[in-house]
Amino acid sequence: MVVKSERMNVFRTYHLKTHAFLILYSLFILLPFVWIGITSLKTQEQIYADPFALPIPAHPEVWLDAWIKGRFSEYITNSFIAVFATLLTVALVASMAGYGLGRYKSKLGPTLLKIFLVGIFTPNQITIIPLYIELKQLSLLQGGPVTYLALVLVYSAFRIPFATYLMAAFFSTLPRSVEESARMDGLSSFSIFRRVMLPLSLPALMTISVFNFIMTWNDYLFAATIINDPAYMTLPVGMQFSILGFYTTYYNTAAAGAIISAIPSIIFYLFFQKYMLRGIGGLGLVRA
Amino acid sequence: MVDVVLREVSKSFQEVKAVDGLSVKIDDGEFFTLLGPSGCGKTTVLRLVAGLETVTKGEIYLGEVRVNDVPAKDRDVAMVFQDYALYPHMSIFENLSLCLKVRKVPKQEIRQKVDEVAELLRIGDLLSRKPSQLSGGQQQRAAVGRAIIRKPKVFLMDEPLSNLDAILRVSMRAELIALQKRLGTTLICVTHDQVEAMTMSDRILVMNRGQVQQLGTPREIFSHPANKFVETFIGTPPMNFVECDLLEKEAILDAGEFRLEVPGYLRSIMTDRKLEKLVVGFRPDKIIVYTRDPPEHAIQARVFVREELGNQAILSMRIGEYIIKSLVAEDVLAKPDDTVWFLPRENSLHIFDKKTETSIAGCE
Amino acid sequence: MRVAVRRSLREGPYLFVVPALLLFFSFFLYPAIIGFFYGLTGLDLRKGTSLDFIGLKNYVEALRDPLMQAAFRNSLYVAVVSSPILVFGGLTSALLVAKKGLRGKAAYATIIILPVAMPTIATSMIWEFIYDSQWGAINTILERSSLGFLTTAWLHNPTTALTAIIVTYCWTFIGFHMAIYFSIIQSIPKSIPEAAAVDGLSEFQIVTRIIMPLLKPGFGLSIVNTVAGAFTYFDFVFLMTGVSGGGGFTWTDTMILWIYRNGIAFLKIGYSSAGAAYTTLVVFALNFVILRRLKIW
Repeated sequence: MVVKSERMNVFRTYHLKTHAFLILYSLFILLPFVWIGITSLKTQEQIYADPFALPIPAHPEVWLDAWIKGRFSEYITNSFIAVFATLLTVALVASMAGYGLGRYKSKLGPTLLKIFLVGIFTPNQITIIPLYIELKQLSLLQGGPVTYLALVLVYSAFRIPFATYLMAAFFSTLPRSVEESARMDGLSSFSIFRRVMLPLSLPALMTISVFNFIMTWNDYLFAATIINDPAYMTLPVGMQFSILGFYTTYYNTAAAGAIISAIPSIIFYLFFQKYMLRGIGGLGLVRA
Repeated sequence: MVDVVLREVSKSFQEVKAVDGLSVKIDDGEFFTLLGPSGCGKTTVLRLVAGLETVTKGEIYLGEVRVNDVPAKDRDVAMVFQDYALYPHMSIFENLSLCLKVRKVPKQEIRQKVDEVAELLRIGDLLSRKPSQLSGGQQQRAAVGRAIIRKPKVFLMDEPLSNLDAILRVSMRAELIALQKRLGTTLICVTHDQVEAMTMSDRILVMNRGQVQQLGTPREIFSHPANKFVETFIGTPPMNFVECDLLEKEAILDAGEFRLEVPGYLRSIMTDRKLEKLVVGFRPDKIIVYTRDPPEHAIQARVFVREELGNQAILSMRIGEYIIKSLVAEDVLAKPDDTVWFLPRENSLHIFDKKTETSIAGCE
Repeated sequence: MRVAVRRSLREGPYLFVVPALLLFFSFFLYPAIIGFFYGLTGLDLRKGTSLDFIGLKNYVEALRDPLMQAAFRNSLYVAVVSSPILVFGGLTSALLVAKKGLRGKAAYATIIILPVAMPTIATSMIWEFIYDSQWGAINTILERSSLGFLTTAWLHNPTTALTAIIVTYCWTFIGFHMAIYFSIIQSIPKSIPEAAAVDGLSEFQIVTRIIMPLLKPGFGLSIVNTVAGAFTYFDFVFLMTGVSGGGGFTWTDTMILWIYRNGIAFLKIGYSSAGAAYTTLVVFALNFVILRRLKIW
């Protein structure tokens, strides 16, 4: 007797339905990009003629124009400096703190961790006004290179709670034996950290740094508030300053500018998306 | 309570053939074990029977029913996973009763069945706890409970004892045997531990690399291993193997460093075939070791390592390049660097063809 | 006693934690807390830098301010509309992408999460163009399908503007929530849904009875994030409708926009801080209530 079950077929069409949904949704995500891409290669007349038409002939010079008018080389450089300084600061500081809290049993340890936990769930933006005052009082808003300092201090402060928490969790899972053999070899606490723990934590640091990169590179609010010197603008602020003004008249330039500004983020994301996923996942598991 | 039939079952994952043309009939009520090293395909076979994988080729029958296209949830089998797979967010009571709940069994009946099973497995006072609050042994019993509560047609167990400590393992072994006999349900068990397989099973299927090596009762496999692989796998310590050439009109086996006489009962088998290169095996527990006054044909060797087992010891003896292990009683006082003599017992040689590694002769 | 303190300071972990604590405290915790006190002063940087204590005057005035009331309503609106979309959308996509044996999982996940990695000005620009009243994708499609009467200036129309922003917001952040659920799902040992399948549960039952309960922590984070975001997420509202280039209107303002305008644009520090204090309290309160109801806290 053969039992034929339609369920097995349904099992296969489940994947068909799944793919259908996912493809539709993926299109929803991708089409805006595609459309802006098309637009960025047209002349204004082509856009007016038919916003959906393919750019034939294509006009890549729009991109060059956008690059120059948007002063992207300047802004991307500034962003690089600010963001990487932040990443290094956070990596160093959070791994130390994570080590201290994840490895040692201490009376205040759990309390400190809880304080960081509160930091994770506090929206950064509520600090904007007092932060403005504080930075003004510290003379960090006057423009010039101190702008970088202000940015790094603020960005680091915001990223530290999550990074510390993850590092503490990571360090608490390392076997004691590694440390104990180092101690028996006569290393001081800091040496153990520097030579043994830190190298071991590189994968966790990667995850955190990728997540931090995305959050910091794309920041607009704090950059806009802190940066008062056009020469030191990061990408989000600078771009608004230079190219968004074109929006009403030169759609194509603005579109090209939008894409150019997105490219570093997209490239970074594609390379490191595995870590990015882990980073966001870390947020989910923090709660768990 | 059915028999399970696999007919020419193959399963491939991408390029890898995990199971290759397996055919076997497992009888109703049998305690059947799939035995083999990691990666041999035994767990895949179990999962195919469970419905967690679909066959690439071949057919699977549960009783009269062809179940190739029947999904796991409709096959009425139960499985105990290697990591127990208890639902972490549910109490043990809920874990046990979920399968009944989804079959719309009335609450009273559920309560009754859970109590029955809990009493049988002695987890009655753990019912309100969550799996994370149970010890390994308790979790295992809970997992078994979940499997037996709905009286399925077949039980499947994936390495049920491997996560337990040694003492627990021994006691659970006895419990599982008793349980299976009592319930009378067909049980298919997967393990890599040959002691488990030998002590618990009605029949064993030895597998390697997706293929059947031997099928038989524990006794059959132990005394008549079909090939070198089976032999290596069964028996602790493992059998000693020595490569030999057949000499002098099929009466002497020459191992280079020493010679063994072909026992009478084997001579006729050996002369029937054209054999040259052979592998001879003899079990450590079938060797007599002499610390003095060796008999004539005994082989001289030097003790290399002695492993104490309490009332027995394993002597590793070195002759030339061979290391032969023997299991001796505690009163054989040989120590490392002592010279000893040994002889395999009468009628205890297993002879394998070197090329094909299949058994030619040998029995105990 | 002093010796004990000194020794524990040297040998304990505290030295390692100090830099992190210092940064975190100075530039995150301190400003977060001091805001409450600024709210009690009449600090207005256009009138000078005096920190005169004026009690609850700002707090009362803010409550009466129709702009703040509007901002509050808008924030609630965003919270109510975006939360189910983000949570449900994130959950569904995570469940779909995580399906056993689905080909192209990595590709789907990459695409869905991509908008999270984008700089917000790029996203704002893209969607501003989509919503453009003359050449935008939406209006063009509507006109070509003879639905031209539905066209409007999406971002400039008081009825539609905030909703349009919510669409952009969801387009961007569903991937974020998907990532949260997805990683929790990945951490569930495969044997558990398999055990459920053998136990007799249908796929739907496995999702509802086994996977969803295990996702509870993810729900917690998700909801905290969407509620807080509705009140405090700045970029899209500002860039698409709040700037003079994009519109410069205030009717789409959420709380953070109101705070920003009064504080940075008008420099009424004390006043805006009162609004910030309200926002913080409301966000925490809402989170508390919601998490309680979900039995997570």
